[in-house]
Amino acid sequence: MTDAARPREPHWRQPYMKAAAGETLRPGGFMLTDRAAELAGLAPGARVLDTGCGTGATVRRLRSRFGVFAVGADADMGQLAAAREKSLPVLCADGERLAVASGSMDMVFCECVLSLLPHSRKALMEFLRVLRSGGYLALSDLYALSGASCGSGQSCGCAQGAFGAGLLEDMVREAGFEIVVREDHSRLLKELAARIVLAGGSPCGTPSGYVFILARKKDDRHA
Amino acid sequence: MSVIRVPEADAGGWSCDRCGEELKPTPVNLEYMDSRFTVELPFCAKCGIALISEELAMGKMLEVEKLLEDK
Repeated sequence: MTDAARPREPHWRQPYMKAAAGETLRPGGFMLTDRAAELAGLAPGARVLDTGCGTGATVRRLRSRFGVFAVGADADMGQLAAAREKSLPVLCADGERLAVASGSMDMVFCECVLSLLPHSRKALMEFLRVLRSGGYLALSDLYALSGASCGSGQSCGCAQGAFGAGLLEDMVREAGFEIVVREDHSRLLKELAARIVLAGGSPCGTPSGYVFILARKKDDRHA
Repeated sequence: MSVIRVPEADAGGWSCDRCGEELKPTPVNLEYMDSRFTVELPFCAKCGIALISEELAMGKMLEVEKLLEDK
């Protein structure tokens, strides 16, 4: 396989990423996490699941800042071990098969993770299953700018699964959610790319945007 | 956000031209187009001046400017 054909490792696995992005390894750090929690009116004691939790930075943030009962789920055993060292409640599961009871969660977070999953639509259905009626899904992810291609000629780790503009919203609605808020935060992605450059990395050449969606599971009683 | 250590901004061997003080790696805020980055740069604590080498200015900093300007 040539270098041009070999997919790049996702940025979150690169050594420069922690310096560039902090513990969350995503654009904006906790900014969109906090925004989602505030918009959803997350109250102390609420049951929250962070999918693709990594080493648990968001789980810890939600527990300390909002007083919620947050748990994390991730399929990477190395990341989970780091989370457990910090005494954070995490479980080993991928986004498509969460080992969580149906209707048990008040809110699910999936930040900069969905486009990395092989079956994104199945994952959205799984998020819907574990949420109670009226529960919230906080989603942020890359989206591909139309007609853009990667300047390096490589398959770029993070951006290769990016959804087309508008596709993510369609998928969220088709899964059974109603979209409450949709915001473009592409500036955060540019700032992260700049940080990656300063830290000695090489950002993906694929021009991408970054979108934040807060969606609500439709009330079963009125479905 | 965490402090970014820039490989090209090594303070080793530099001293301040104005006062002779040894430059030490120090977190410095860089602002451009409403974005702020905290970067470790060689810094003179006495004069309050940071050193940005030509290599850094014409290399990574120029690349960052272009990224933020969408060029």
